[in-house]
Amino acid sequence: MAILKNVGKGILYIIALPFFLIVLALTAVMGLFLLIFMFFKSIILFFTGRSLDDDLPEDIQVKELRNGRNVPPTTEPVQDSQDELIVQPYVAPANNTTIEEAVFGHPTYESPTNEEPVVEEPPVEDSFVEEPEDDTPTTPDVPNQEEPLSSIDINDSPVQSDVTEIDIGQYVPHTGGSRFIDEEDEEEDDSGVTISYGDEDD
Amino acid sequence: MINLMLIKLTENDKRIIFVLLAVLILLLVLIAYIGFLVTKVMKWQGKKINNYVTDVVVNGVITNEKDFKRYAKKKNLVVFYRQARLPALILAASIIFFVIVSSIFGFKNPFNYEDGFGTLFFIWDFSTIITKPESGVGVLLNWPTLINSPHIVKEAWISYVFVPVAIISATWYLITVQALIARYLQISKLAQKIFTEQIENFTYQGQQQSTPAPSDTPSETQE
Repeated sequence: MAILKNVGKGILYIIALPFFLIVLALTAVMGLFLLIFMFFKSIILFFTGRSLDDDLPEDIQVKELRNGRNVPPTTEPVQDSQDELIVQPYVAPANNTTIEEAVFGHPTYESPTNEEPVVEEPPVEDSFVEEPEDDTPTTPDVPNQEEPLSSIDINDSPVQSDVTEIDIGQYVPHTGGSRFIDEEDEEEDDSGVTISYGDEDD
Repeated sequence: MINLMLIKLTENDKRIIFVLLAVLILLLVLIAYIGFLVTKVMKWQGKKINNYVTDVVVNGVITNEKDFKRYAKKKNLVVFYRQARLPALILAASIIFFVIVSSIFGFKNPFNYEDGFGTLFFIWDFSTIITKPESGVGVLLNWPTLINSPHIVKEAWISYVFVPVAIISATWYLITVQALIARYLQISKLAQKIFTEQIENFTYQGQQQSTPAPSDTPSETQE
């Protein structure tokens, strides 16, 4: 089938070839006259201090637009001394588009500046085991989305599972700092699910 | 006519017809591929005009088809002048050289096979291959006779200089003319695509992405 398509194209090209050659010949002759005309034009322009490569009015407008955009106050040249001029590197024009907008499109979320400042927890400075000051349980009973994963009660989950033991790990963040829980801190709730906090590698 | 219809083809004739048909198909396929190559080259040549018109369109200096075509044609002619002046100059120089030398040593056909560029090629005489009886159709009977083998003639040095230079520069010039045509085609295509078909390529999704106002979208205003 493809070969028939090519055969058809070949016939079309044979039909179109004379027309193409006529157009080519006419353009070649026209081009010769054009070359002669532009040759003399370039000579005249040369003696008037211009050339054929000069910018057209549209090009000048584009340059003006670019210059207008590319001169924000931060890109002014900085002079250490009067003799030495340090030119700042080229800065792309700011098109009112942030990097996030360029990558992900225009945002549909609120600006981060409107949100409450994020309070980062201080890093863990040492790794010794800290005993709780009181007897309050370290894992809250009420699940909350803002609280860490270790506080989720799997019995409240709508998905029923056969898992009876959950290994959460050594690091359990909570409000007011971080702590490590001993291997002995195993809890068994009413449903018989055992929660262990993993081993310490000290 | 009736006699032609009653012609019975032998097995040998059928084979010859089959071979000729296969050769014809191969020839057409070859021509199709050559045409495809020329089309590809012209598209590649035409795309060079994009570099010259991108700035004025992207920055909004040109906003209509008429101004775009006028600007692009000016640029196209300047590009053509830059590309074609060297081959045209070489061609003109070779022609002037040939005219001057021919006026000194006498004019000769630069392509003949006696003291021209044709001395460098095999040349056959095809006029002797057909014997034409007094009545009836001519029949192919003889092989063409070889009338020239490649050899160098000292008197043909003008042709040896002029003909290759002229052929190369003329081919070069024709390629630039082809590029000129290709750029013209690309200009008309771009003008149609940028300014005429804008509404056809319009999608609401694209408009939504380009305007940072999600609250203005109908889906949210309806809610």
